[in-house]
Amino acid sequence: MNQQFKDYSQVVSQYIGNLPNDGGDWLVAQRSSAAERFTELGFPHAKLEAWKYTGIEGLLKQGFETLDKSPEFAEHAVLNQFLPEPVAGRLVFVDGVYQADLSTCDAVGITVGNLRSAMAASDRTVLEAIGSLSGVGDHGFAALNLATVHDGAVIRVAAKTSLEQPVELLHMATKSAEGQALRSRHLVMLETGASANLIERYVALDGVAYFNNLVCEISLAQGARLTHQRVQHESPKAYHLSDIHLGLQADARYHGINAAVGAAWSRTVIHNRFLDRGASCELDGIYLAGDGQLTDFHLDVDHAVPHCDSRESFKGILHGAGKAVFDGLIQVREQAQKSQAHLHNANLMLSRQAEIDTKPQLVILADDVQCSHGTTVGQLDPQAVFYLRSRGIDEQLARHLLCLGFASEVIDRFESETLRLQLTEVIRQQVRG
Amino acid sequence: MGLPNIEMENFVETEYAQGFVTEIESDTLPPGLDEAVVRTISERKGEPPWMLEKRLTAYRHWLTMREPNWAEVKHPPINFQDISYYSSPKKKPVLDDLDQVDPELLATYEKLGIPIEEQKALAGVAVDAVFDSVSVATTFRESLAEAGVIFCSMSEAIREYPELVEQYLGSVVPHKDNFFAALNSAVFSDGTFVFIPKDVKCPMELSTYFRINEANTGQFERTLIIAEERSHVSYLEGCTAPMRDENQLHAAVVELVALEDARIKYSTVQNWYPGDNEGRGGIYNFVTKRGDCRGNRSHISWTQVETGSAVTWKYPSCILRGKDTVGEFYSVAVTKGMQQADTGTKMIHIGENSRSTIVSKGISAMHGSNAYRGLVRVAAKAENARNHTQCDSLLIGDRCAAHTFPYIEVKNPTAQVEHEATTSKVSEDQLYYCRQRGLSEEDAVSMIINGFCKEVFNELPMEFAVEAQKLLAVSLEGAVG
Repeated sequence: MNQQFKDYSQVVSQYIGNLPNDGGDWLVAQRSSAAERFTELGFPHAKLEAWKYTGIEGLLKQGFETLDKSPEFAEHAVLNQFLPEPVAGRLVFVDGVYQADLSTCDAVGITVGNLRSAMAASDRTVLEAIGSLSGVGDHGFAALNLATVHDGAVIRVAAKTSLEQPVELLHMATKSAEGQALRSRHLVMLETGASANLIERYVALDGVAYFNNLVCEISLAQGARLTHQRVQHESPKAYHLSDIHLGLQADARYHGINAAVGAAWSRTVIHNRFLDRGASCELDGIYLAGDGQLTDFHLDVDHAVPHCDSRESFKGILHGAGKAVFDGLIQVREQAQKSQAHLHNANLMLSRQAEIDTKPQLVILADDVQCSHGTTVGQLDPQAVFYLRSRGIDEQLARHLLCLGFASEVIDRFESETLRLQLTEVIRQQVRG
Repeated sequence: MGLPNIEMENFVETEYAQGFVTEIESDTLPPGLDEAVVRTISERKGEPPWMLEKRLTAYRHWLTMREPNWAEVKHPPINFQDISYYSSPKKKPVLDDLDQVDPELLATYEKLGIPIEEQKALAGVAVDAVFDSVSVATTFRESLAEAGVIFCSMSEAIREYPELVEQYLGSVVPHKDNFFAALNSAVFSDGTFVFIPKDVKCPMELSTYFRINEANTGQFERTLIIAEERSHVSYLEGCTAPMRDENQLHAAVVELVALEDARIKYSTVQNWYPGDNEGRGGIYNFVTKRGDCRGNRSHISWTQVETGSAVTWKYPSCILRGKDTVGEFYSVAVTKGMQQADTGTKMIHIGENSRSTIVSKGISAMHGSNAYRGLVRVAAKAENARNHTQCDSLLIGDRCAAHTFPYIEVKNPTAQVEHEATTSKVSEDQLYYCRQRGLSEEDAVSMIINGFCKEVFNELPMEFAVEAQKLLAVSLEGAVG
């Protein structure tokens, strides 16, 4: 591992040296400090509390490389993946490479573009936003992302703009992604009083193995509102790592609805920081894990200021030899009086080989608060199965119906009907009773 | 080794100068720990060679270990070479009467309603010979012997019942378990040994309190309780009265073994010196407690009321090995002043139909910090395992902290595991309701807190429960309102 890491560090520093010098000295300094941080942290390992249940041996064994190849694909294959509903803007990345021809933006008050062009144009606001919420990175992969930052989405919504239609951010992996370490860095900025709906999706055209290492920074200015629908449906051999950082100013509202149904190994970390009073954060999630899959959700909700509310509700379905990890941390700091935080995590285990490791955490340093968390692990209620069977529904279908019922509480929160139907279909196909 | 040095003599002389009656402690080892110290301890205690071997293995393993730092507590580093690891069972400095005792301590005894003779015993005042000879302890011992129950000190057990000790000691908490367990296994001074033979229901609640005049068990206490097939025992450890102790580090190990159909109920009330309000002094209480439900249908229940110690680090656990076994954990932990507690439990489900219940109530006041850290693990073979966990934290004052860190690991689909936790302060509505009916604010808070802890107090033996309630009120005095 050590030798492997050393080799890797070397490759990384060479790679950074060859990156285009967009964004001037400022970005160069950011990159090199992140590279230093990466060398210092190394790859995460099981002795780190946050990685205790999420091994990365499989990931390291794959020896993914960063090649930045231009992907080859048939355009219609991509077009087929677009959401049928009208959108205010669309950004398309294929194998981590921005596709300007396929991306659109028609609405007023919103700017969508890619990070690379913003860096090339030395756009100060964008450059300074990079790393402003995430810092250099609290684990090796996040630092690596910043060290090698080259592209991603930039979405800006102007003050008081209210977008009726969603913005689609589509990530596709094609056959040529095989063996590649892809990475992207997204920036979403909503100005004062703006409101938007973002649909972020990760899909694959081929069942190839690749590693998607992502960081997303979302800042909501005073009174801004964002609904963020996020679906991870990567190739069954893929590795997917997302670090999402939220910064909420006064009275901002964020609602994240997450689904993780693909990838061999996936980990989504959502950090939410309340920066001023009156903000609220709602996080919903559904995860599926079957044979050979590991799905991990880490939440870190930091009530650093008074009068903020958060609600987290995550549900998991485990079948086959699937393994899921859930870690939900709610922190309330000394001065954060009148905080409210409620977390719920429910897990359904359908098979003998499945495994769940769940760890909700409360760290409370203020007294005038209302916080709670609840976790359950269980199986389908045999009486409910019996009830359905007694009405002529065969066992397999009965179990499916109950699983869908369990998941629907989260799935129904997706505003896009297409996504709701797609996810229901995925559960119907994947979950083996 | 045993030579008294100049400092030691000076120390002894000063004590004389103040009029204490004490024996010259020629048998106290100077501070420091090495293999020779371990050998000396074993030799002084007249232990058989296998015991020395156990200690040495533990010591050698301890050397390879590092002090854990994951707990949610902060304290200055402990210098393990600064501690004296053995002193012969010494007499406490005996005072002539209660007038010489710290009046604050007496006031506390008064509030707890401790009888005058018991107050003397606790404060280290010479106890009336008459009282001692007719004491409950002596009478109880006789009826225990009749039932075939062995209840004695660990040293005595090593001498009298070596085969039992050799078979069970370290079988639940092996020396490799953790840093402090390894240290304890190497240098433990004394402790309690309980053996309940087959089919015996122990005729009374056993309590360390009965042995209070008899031995100074010291800082590295070792307790072993064995309940054979179909036997029952209830054991009470500690006492509600604040205990004086000069040792800052306490690293005890408690092992429980329950064979088929046996039941062990272990209740603890811990009220060691918590240090002053700035956090100076105070006991570090690093305890490893574990029960092994080895036989089918065995039942182990832990109940604890923790109000003392500057730093508490304690996770009474149950290994539910047999089929249909039951593990329970009921805890009230109070931290105030600068106290810190990181406590919880582990329920390891291995046997089929094993069930466990966890009820943990944490109360933090002033600058107190309270953490619940628990693990519920359901192994792949544990069919129909069932766990319910309830952790509630109550915050009093805006400088205190409450943390909840539950770990849930499930590898069997038939398991049903539930965890719930809440954190809040005393509800304004409840307070208002009580005040409206004429209760003072302090009485109202005290009533609400008692209600908050009721579920745990209900598990305590009756007379203990009454004391625990009073203790809670005394502990939180000045912290509420």
